[in-house]
Amino acid sequence: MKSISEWYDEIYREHGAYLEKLARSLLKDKHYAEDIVQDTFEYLLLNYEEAKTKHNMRAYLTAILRKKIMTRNQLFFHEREVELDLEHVPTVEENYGDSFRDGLPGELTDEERDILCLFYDYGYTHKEIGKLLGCSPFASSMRLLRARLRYKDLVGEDGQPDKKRKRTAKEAPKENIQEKSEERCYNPEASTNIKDRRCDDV
Amino acid sequence: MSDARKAPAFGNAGNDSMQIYSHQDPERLRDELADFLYEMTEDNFDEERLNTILEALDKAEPVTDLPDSEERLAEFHRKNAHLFEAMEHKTAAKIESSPQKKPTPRRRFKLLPVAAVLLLILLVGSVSAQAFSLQGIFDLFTRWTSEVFLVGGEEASHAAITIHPIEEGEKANYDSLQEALDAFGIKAQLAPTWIPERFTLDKVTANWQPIGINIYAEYTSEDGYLMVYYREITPDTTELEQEGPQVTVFSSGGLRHCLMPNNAQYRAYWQNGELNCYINGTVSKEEMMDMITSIYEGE
Repeated sequence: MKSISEWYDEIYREHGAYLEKLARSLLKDKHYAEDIVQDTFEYLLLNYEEAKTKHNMRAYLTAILRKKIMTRNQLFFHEREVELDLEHVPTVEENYGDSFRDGLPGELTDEERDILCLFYDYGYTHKEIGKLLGCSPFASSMRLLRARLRYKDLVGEDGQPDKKRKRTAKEAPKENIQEKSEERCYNPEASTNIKDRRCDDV
Repeated sequence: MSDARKAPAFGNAGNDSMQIYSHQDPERLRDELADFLYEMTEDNFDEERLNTILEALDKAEPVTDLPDSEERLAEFHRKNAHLFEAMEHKTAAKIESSPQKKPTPRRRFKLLPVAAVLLLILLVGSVSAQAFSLQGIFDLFTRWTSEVFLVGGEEASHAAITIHPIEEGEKANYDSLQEALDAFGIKAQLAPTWIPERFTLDKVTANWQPIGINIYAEYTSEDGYLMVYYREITPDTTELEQEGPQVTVFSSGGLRHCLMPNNAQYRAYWQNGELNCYINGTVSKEEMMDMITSIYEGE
């Protein structure tokens, strides 16, 4: 009988490169992708009893990877605290002088700007963004994650879009976004599809 | 993906779809990849379609500096040597109770004496292998406990479901919230140890729905209710509510908890590891904060 270590190594050799590529393709960020794959294999090891009963290991690992991305993604958004620097409190003009979009680094692509504006400035949910862009809420959250990782690369640890400046969805101008959604053959009538029902169920 | 949402081009995998994917820009292909992951389950996993998307993405934007698999494997072994050892011991001694089925918590306790005898036999067997020396017994215990604690320490601050005592679609009742958390192998501190005295526990239930595992405890008082519940984070999970003007952020146990009034009720939500956690009921803000504080008092 194989030891756990032998069992694990065999799975890693067979699926490790695939998972690395999948995570990297989806997330674009090398270190973030490596951490996700690390989390995935750690889960595999801790859940050995369950894992060894699986018939399709690649499907099982892919599902774990997806779960790990979701977990890290939520932590990324909800558990980040920035200490208030009372010496350098930004003035109202500094905070609200330019539009949110104009305040973003010029190196970001239009699509990265779009997703940051939609989420932070206009206050749309991923479900709403998914409908606008013609993709799933998960694809929307992945777009936002990539844009944020890129933003962090460009601006550094301390610079993050100011959530306080969020507007309600009703106030948001939608023209530009609608143009883009038309490019993706988005069909508004298709918005009541299975995915939406799944989201509503949550 | 529903037919309505699908662009006509995305119906088939194989050569046709490869041609279609090859004309797309990388960002759109990444959306396709995310859509695929969003929809997939272990049962409907379409590896061919996934490979087609990955291949197209690789052509559009090649990933050149992927880490060396053998190096990563060696690194993983180095970093997690304690986990490997702990898992090997766990399996060898068969100490971990089978997580396949647990009809009722009460029945599990009936099996406790049998498990204890089995454990003793296995332990004696292991000790024999250690040449019957007293030092061997001591070493065995030292190693075993240290490994168990190492595993526990790793997971203590990060809530994760590590055991599945029920199958998908099943439901189970428990005598207490902590018992339910233990049954699912959740080691992080999640259950309040203090609840306002006017409430009595009605039931604790866990179920495994298509959107993930839910564990909830329901309490009632003469004119009110209280619910504590945990939801596994899955790709179908909506994000926790954003912080708004009515939300108070309360930090305890190293985590941020969002408190929000709702008429005569109060609601708290936070995330710990792989679980979204909620407390909701006819309580005051102070009571809510006290309940949250009580979760971490044992730390």
